[in-house]
Amino acid sequence: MSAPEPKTQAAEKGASSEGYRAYLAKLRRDTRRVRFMQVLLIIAFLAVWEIASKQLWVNPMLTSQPSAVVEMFFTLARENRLEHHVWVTLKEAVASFVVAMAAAILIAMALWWSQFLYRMLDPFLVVANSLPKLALAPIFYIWLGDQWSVYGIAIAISVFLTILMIYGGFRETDADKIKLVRTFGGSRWQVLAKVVLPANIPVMIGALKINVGLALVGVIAGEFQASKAGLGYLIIYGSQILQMHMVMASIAILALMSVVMYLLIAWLENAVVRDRH
Amino acid sequence: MSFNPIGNKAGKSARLAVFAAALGGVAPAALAQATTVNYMEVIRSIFYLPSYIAIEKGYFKEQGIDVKMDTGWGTAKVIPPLMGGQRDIVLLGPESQVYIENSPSPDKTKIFCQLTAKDGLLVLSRKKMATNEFKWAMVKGKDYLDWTNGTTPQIDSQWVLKKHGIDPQKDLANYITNVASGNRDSAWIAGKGDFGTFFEPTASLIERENKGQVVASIGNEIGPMGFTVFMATDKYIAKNPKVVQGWCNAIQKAQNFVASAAPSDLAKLALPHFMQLDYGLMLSAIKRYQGLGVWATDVTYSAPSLTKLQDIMVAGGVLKAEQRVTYEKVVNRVFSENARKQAK
Repeated sequence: MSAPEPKTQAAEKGASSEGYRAYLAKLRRDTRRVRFMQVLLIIAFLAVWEIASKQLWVNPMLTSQPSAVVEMFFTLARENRLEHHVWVTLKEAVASFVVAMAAAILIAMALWWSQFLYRMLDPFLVVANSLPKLALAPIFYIWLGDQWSVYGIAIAISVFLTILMIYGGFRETDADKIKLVRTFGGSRWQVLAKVVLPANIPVMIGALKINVGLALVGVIAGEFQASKAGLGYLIIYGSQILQMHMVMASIAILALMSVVMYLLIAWLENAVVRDRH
Repeated sequence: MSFNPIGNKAGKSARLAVFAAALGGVAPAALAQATTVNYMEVIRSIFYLPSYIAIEKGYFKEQGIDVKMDTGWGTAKVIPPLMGGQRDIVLLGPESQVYIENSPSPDKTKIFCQLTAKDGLLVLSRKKMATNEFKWAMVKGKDYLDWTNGTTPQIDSQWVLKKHGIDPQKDLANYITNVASGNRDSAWIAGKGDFGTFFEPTASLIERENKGQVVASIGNEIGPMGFTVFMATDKYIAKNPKVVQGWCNAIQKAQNFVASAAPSDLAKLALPHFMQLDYGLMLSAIKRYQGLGVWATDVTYSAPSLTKLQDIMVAGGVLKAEQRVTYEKVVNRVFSENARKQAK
């Protein structure tokens, strides 16, 4: 997201010609314009929503409006223990995607290690990946009970895609580098630890980004099924008592949560990827 | 695998025949000049028996109404089509009317006819008990399987517990409210809960499977309080008063029929709407509901009902005291009173 900026600023310090400096300045201007339009888009969206609701172009009971949503934030914080619900969902999402990432990396390593294992499991993994795990939510509930089914669904949704992504990355690792380590007498284990894993950090970061969204989907689906707390619970409760403001506020907080988690990973990516160069 | 997009000749003429038959079916209805009413019920339940009887015995047709019925499966799914105009008349709990009245919606609705006069929830005990052995104090220290927070079955059941001096948060081992309504039956059968509330035919099913026994009726504990009502937008009522009146007349006639008919006759009439339901269970459910008097012989939704409902809603935390609505704002009793006079 913010990748071009550090490079242009750093490069500018060493920029030698007038033309090059002008080019870098233009890049900065373009980025500013993009930022400006993005902010404008958000404001326009909120404005249209608020006006449409106030002017009754849509039924405000069914759509809610930004001003009511903001008010509801404060009401929820005051009366309904909003922090508790946010914490429950956050904890479930983070735990699920940590487990999913760890499991996926280990399984991808095992698949890379044993070609036989990969050939044996490949069709099952592909089917498991294509199957909509949300359809299994009621089954997870019956098998794992109300507390653990949330984690189960979230992990199931993320893990299969991640395995395929990371294994794919492992397979694509530069064969020449691997040959190099082998010619120096390196074992398979050393190939894995020193070539394959480091080379695939970008793939793993990419998988992290996707997992954040998927884990949240799973957690909310699990909370819809059977929860006493969490943002999914607030959404269900709000819609049952016809409080659209509560539903919209919970959705807005969810959106905020996923953006923050994505930004944290992007920051991690900048830190890790920059180090390697 | 071969793929023939045109289909074989036999298939083609079969499809044409079906198409022609469908057209033929539509034509007579169009000529009869009956008004089509797009009707949505909140769930499919034996609790709503008089509505199915009204359809099966042709009471709606008599009033010149052609009913197109479907089921929303949840209050939140019924209200948008009602407000958006895709459905003309809906069957909901009256608490929805209170919510709509309090909402910023520019279109408002009215309750114009009552279907059930009492809460139809039954309290099940996992352990067998002799008749009249059950005392409410027995639920203390036990697991109580209730409905999800904020729903009318939950606030009703909670109100009854408090009425008997039981605080669900303190006196029960577990007050279980986090089971989604679709999963509650299987949760009970799988062993969750020492006591729980269920509608028919689940209560009869649980008894038949020897997983529990009915020991109390929430409806009797609360007393008469309209539990399910027909609603429509003010706009629709203003434009179609004859249809609304005809609807009430048909329902009142059905209520009178249900009050005196034999359970087996009722079960046979309702069968087409409950194809998945065991006939024996349906019969047992109808008998129990008849005995409890849940069906409204008077289709007018009364003021005391509204007061009691709002008391329970405020106690349940889903309504603030200052959000209480007045009877005149939410109920139109003209049609239902006419219906009662007419169907004598």
